[in-house]
Amino acid sequence: MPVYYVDRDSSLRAMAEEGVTISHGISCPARNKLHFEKKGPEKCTEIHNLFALPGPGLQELKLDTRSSTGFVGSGEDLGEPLFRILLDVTQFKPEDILIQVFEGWLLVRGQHDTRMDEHGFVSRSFTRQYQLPDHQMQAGDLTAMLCHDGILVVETKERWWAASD
Amino acid sequence: MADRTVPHAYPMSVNYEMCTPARIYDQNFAEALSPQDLMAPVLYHGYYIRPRINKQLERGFSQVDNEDDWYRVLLDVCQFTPDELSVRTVDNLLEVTGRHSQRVDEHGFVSREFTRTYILPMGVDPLLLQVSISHDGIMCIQAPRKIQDLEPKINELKIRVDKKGGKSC
Repeated sequence: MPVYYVDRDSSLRAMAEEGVTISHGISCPARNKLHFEKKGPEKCTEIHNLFALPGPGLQELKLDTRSSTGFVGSGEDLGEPLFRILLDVTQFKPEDILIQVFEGWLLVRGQHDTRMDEHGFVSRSFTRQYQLPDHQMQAGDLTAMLCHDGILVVETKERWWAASD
Repeated sequence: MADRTVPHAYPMSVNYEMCTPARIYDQNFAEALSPQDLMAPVLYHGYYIRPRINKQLERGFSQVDNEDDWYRVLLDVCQFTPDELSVRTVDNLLEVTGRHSQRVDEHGFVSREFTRTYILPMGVDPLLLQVSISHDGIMCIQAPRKIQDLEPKINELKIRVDKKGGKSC
């Protein structure tokens, strides 16, 4: 959706000149409904923080579109990493997660202490081990990223490019 | 911007707010994904989400049913086998603990541990709790809940009037 930003504004303006009413395809967050009722959605178009969009996620966008064909990246083709793992760590904060490399194994540990949620108290911990492709790989050869939707990505800095292009 | 209600900082009971959701999700943790499982991000209620192919929507929940005469907790423990789980009560706290040692899955090795504590409401006897696990990995903890005992017991006292003046205390 952010891809269309530039074109959308001009097309919106063109449609408004034609007298077409535009309604958003996405339903508005309930907490903002009152705000829009008072001011009208057209006047709020510039206030982007109402939607609390996460930061520019082009790097993340690229991660997801391995299998899709239509996506065009922002710039240079970064290639594919030699090794990549994805892990769902929605329940953990970045400081709860420990990543280690040991003799060709990648260890990901997560632990959070007892905290309160809607149904009482909860604490969790886990350890995950992955075999690295290269036995000599060090921790410095890897990068880790925690996406805003709670998915941890650990991948090699080294890249390769598919032979087809 | 509209005013928001702030929940009480120190809840006194499980009903600390009328709007406590009966069912919460995302209780399954440390699930490994492969890049093919994630689809392109979409905008949902103003936030980006990445839908997953193999995400089971109605799984990974914790549910508390606080009915009139039954107290029931449903917890999805499909990541654990029954002998890796233990349930105990400490006063009016109900503790569910799960721990499994290293096991192999399609991504590597994984070990997990969790402890979840529920607060039993008034009228639930911890000794009457029953625990069962269904074949699809949902733990059900339930106990009868007494409500009539919570009503005040009113006992009218009869006043006796002594007619004879001889005996005095």
